[in-house]
This record gives sequence, structure tokens and C-alpha cells, in this order.
Amino acid sequence: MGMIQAPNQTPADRLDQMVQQYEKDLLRICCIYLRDRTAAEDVVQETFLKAFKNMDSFRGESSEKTWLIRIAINCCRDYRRSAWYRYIDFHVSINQLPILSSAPPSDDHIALTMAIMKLKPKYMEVVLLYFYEGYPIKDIARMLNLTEAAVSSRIHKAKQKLRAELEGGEDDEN
Amino acid sequence: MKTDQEIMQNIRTAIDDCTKGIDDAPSLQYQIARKAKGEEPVVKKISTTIVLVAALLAITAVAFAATNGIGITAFLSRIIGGWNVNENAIVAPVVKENTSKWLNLTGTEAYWAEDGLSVVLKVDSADDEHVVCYSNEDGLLDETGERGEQIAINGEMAPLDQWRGEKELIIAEFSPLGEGWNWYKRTDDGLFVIVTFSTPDAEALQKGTDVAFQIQDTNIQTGETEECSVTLALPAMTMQEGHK
Repeated sequence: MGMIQAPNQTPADRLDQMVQQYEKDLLRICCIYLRDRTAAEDVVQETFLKAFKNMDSFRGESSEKTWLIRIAINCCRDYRRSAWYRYIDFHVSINQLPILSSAPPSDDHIALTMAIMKLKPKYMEVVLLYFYEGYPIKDIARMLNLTEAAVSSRIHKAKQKLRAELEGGEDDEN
Repeated sequence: MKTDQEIMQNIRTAIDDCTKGIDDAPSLQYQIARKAKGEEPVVKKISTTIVLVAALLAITAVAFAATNGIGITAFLSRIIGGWNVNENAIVAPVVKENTSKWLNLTGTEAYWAEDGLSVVLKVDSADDEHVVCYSNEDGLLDETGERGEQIAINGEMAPLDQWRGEKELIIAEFSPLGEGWNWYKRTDDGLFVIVTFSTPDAEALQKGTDVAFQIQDTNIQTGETEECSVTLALPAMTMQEGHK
């Protein structure tokens, strides 16, 4: 089964449609993963280009968005392994994210987001997929080629590592 | 303790709040369409700041190493942090205790700046039957034991199995006690790991003190693991300002 296309819709049209639908979502995830907006834009472009080249191989076993996120995560992993990213990857900074200067984020939100960005990739991935995107564990296991037990374990450890920022929010609510 | 649903809400709200600028940003649609049609080459965009910083660091690195006699490898490990260091404030940490049976550690440099205390260690395997990789990213491994096929050395990718030969692969993960982070640099001279303690005891550092961190190792071929601790002795240090 190939990509579902509307009648008379070319692959290029389908690509445009995918970009319109999912660009912002992918950009958000990649910004957090790579801690840098410029790098995230590169990876998002690469994700859509890979999807475009492999449209015929999309089997429809998952949603289009799930498929794109899986490609994006693999692209992020490759990017982080690149010699260039290793060279420039030092401090995590909120200034590298696309914040809105007219409505800056709250301190609590900055603290939690930075804590997520400081996680090792294996924990950051499950945080983004489970807590941010809301995928069930079995879907995450399939996306990351892990067992469900491994995913559950990573989720548990990620929660422990984020405990300070999460409980800090809870205290504020009280 | 918050439920997963509550955590989801917290994380979604936080990330959305910190990435609101995306909603107003121009779309990448045009560039993507052009690249898909082959009308525009696929070239990685690098922000101007990064280019300038990289160029400056590269020039500084060569000049400094040439004039100070410090091995370029050790100095490059500081460059990863993008530091503007006061060379006179660099001290040599001494490994006082290492409970690992698989790793030999040599302290090369320590530097105390506004962002914390950073120590650079050369990491070698304790014998000729093993090779060491830093965490999963260096050795391209994950918890299930699936590994990639390549390893990065001096910025070049080399086949992992060819690199390790008949030796067993040890994956080492470093954890500063308390807040901190760590990174690494692998060159022909070996594996160098930078461990940074974000909130060191300032009073103790000024007098000279010990710092400790933990390592979790895994032998990928046998599945054995070890948890060990390392203690470094540091002479009296002075915090450097104007970092980066």
C-alpha cells in the first residue's frame, strides 16, 4: 500500500500538503531535540525530503504524522552524531529556541523545557513522544525499535530526572 | 506525585510556551519544494554566530597550542565548550581513587569558571582486550544492544567493528555527583571526557579539595556491567570570570 493521495494529486502536491499540515509540529520537536532552531530547520527540511523520496515505501501501518516523526527523530540522531554538531554542541540555552519576544515564556516553563533539553537523547525521545505527542507505549516501541519494557523504563527514568522541575510546578499551584 | 496526564499537560504547556515563535515564523514550504524538485541544492544552513565562533576558536586553538606547549588534544577538549580560558588558571587534577576494573583514567586539566568546574580526563581501557566508548552516542548503542556500524574519530566516521577488531567494547557513562553534564572528544590520541560540575563548592575549591563522580560501564559483548566511582584531587583554584 503506498501513500494515500487524492485523485489527480501529484507527489509534489502531496508534499506541499504534508508540509502545511506537519511542519510546525516537526519543527517544535526538532528544536527541543537539537536545542537549536537553525539545526531544527535543516532537519525538518531533510525529513520532508526523505519522506518525498520514500513516499512509495510508506505502508500506511501508521499515520502520516507518526511516519514523519519517526523520520525526523532518525534525522535528529544523525545530525547529533555529525562532526559539526559535536563541535558546536555545548551549552543548552533557551535563546536558541524560537521564543516569542512579545510574549516571553514563564520561568517555570523555561526551567522545565531546559530540563528536557538537557536530557540524554534516549530519555528526551520518550518525553517528546509520550508526554508531548501523547503516543502510547506500544507505538513508541515500534517507532524507536525498542521493546515496550525498554520504553516504559526510559519513561520512568525520564520522570525521575525531571522530578525537580515537575514538582516545582506542583508547589506553585499550591 | 503527578499523574502521567498531569505531566503531559505540564510538558505540553511548557514546550509550546517556549516555542511560540514557530507559529509566526515563515514556512519552509518554498525551500522544501525547490529542493524536492532539484532546483536548490541541499546545503546545511549554519547560523552566522556559529560560523564566527568556530573560526575564532579554531584560530585560537592553533595559536595557543603552538605557543604554550600544551598538547593540542587536551586543549581541543576545552574548545568543545567554546571557552575563552585563562591559561594560567588551568590546573591538573590527580586521580586519587578509581574503583573501575575496566577503565584507566588520567586527569589532564581542570578549570573553574562561572558555569562550573570542568575536569578533562583521558579514558583508556585497563587492558588490551577492551576498548572504551563514551556512552551510547560515541559507540552508537542503545539499551537493547543494537548498535550502529560506525564510530566518529577526529570528525571522521570509521567502521565500528573494524575499529575495535577482536577487542570487547566497553560503554562508559559519566555522572557528576550533583548537577552537571559531560561531553567527550575522541582523537587519534584517545578518548577525552569532560565532566562539568555545575554547582561546585566554591569555598572548598579555593582551598583545594576532592571532587567525585560516578561511571556506569557496560561490556557490550558479555553484558557485564559495573558501577564505579572516581575521586579527583584538585589544588586551590580561583574562579575565572568572563567565561565565553
